Amino acid sequence: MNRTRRLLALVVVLIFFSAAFYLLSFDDSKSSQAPFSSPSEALLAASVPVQMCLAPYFEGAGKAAQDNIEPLGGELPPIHLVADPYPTFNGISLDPANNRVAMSDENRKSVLVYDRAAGDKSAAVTSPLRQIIGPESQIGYIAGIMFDSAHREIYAVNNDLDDRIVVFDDDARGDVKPKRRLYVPHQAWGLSLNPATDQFAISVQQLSMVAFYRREASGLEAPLRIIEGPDTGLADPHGIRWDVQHHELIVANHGNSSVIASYSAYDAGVSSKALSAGGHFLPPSLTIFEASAKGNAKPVRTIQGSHTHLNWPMGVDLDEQHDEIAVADNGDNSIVIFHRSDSGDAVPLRIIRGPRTGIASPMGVAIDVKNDEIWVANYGDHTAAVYARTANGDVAPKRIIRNAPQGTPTGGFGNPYAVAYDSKRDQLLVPN
Amino acid sequence: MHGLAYDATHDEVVVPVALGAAVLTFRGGAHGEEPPIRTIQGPNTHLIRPHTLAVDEKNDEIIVADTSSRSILVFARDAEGDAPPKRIIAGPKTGLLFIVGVAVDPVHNRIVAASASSVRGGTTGLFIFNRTDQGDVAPRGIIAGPRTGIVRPWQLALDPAQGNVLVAAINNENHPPYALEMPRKDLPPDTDLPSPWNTGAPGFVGMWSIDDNGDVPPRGIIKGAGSYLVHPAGVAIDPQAGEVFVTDGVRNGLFTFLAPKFFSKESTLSKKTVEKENQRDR
Repeated sequence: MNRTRRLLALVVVLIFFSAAFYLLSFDDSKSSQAPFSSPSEALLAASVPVQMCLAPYFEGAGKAAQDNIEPLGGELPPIHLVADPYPTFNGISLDPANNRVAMSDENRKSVLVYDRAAGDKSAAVTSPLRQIIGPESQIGYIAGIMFDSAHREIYAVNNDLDDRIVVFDDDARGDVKPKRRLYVPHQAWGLSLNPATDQFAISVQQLSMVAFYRREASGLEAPLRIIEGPDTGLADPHGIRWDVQHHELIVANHGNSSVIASYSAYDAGVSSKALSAGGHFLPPSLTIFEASAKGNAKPVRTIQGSHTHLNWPMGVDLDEQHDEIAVADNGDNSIVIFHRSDSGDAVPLRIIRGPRTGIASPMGVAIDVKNDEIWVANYGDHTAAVYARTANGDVAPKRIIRNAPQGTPTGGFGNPYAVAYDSKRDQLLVPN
Repeated sequence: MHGLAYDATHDEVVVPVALGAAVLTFRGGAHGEEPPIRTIQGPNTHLIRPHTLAVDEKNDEIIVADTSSRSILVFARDAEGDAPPKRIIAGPKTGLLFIVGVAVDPVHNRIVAASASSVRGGTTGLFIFNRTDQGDVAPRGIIAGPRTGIVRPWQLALDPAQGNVLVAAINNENHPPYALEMPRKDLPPDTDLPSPWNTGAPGFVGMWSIDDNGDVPPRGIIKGAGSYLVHPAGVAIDPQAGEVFVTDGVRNGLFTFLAPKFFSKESTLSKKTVEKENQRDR
């Protein structure tokens, strides 16, 4: 009963094709180790805004009551922990005009802004220009991020738990309040701005929906229109990119599909429509819509099939000058590039993939036409890597931005809300 | 994904897929992009948004909590395809609404559900049913109220040997601004909802007996700044080692606590009873 255990971070990441989750397995081996190595403890303490750590404890819990129960336990210290004290890159947005790149960090819950030319081939951590972090920022389980160069603003969307988009001045830093806050449906993931219409669009995972808002929308302002329904082909959408020149909208879909019904603690009732629908697993896809689409609109093109190599497509970007779409293909550890007008079971023009690329569970991709580069934000490594725009195959990056020393493993957690104990292997299973 | 279960008897991992309205079963040693060995999915399953689940290894059943159908669905462990559930616990008498945790006790024949409700007259807490209950049945016990400290429950873990259930009381505030596609009409346009990442009321892991009922405090608790827990969401146990495993979304991490008394006879007794037994032993 007194044995101690050592949990090794990042043993296995099981990526299942048809289910939108990661399952992390941690070896629960029997070797003895003192609880908390001090660097880990210090880093963990630093990884959460102080206000969150020191908030007063709910006084009602654990007090003696009528049956004189004195609860066992109390303020027990953990004997082991698995946590990543460093940021993990997720979404990415470029501002070539002002030579900056911004990335969302869902692990420490922050936004990091770097000089566009930052990074090199060294093993050292790259210093950001600034970081927005802390409870005032309302940044939580953050996903998509977007520069608005014209208005010198930066947008970030909280994906799970906290249903809001926060907008900051692009020189914001530290624990600052957003200048605007827009509430959005649960599980919004990507966002894309259309300067021509002064609107932005977001993808919403669980509703398999795209919603359009005024650029300056705030509070509980409703969307101007939505794309949603069985004919849309939308299925657990993630990356989204407006093609202003061709009046189209590109959406990346994981393929999980169901008709959702009310499920919050604030709504009673059950939807018979949802009950009779059943769920489906569709192949991953890119669906391209007319920019003015609404309701149950059919896409004008769909890229889908075994030749596409799509496997958990995350962020997407568009190169309007060279007519190309780039996709962060998370499940394939690659970046796949299609011709803009591709349709059906299309073979990618290029695939950046292989051990020399360093691409590991990519979440974001951004094309810099001005500087002829393509950026990749890696969730499976503490890096963002920069390649020549036309890179193809197993090529090394030109330079790397690191948010942790080279070789630092990532915990792989993304808002872990469950755990199971595998008694046969003495392992812990954690889904994301 | 908000739940999963390991079936030691059959060496399988069972997971719900909320956005695909499915339950998948994998080999226990599954690795990489390995397909499931069984899939439950389709209109006959009654699955809409399966949130979490438990496996009853003794009775060969999978118990699924669905937050959208507001029900507990019990499937044969080896069910596959568009299979209907064997039993459904749902309806107004059950008190169930936003069911986010479920656990099964095959020794005492109970199913425990963690459910939250913010609708008028609703109850947030732990709902205890007989294992074979079905239909619109009242729970045999409800652990809820201010003394429990449960504001917002999440995953459950159950120790059948002692008849205790542990709950990760995440306790963050989460008032959804939208009712599916549109903003909620009950909220003013200038509403200022609390961020669940900064609510000032950290959660805890609490333990109750499955025979507890009403507004009773936990028999065991892991809480406070020293525990490093902020908003614990996941909980699992290894009774043999006396360990409690907890995940925390704010920390984005996994914690192990050593709490052997949680799994001892002492955990089932009140303080007075323990004192009496100690005096008798002396």
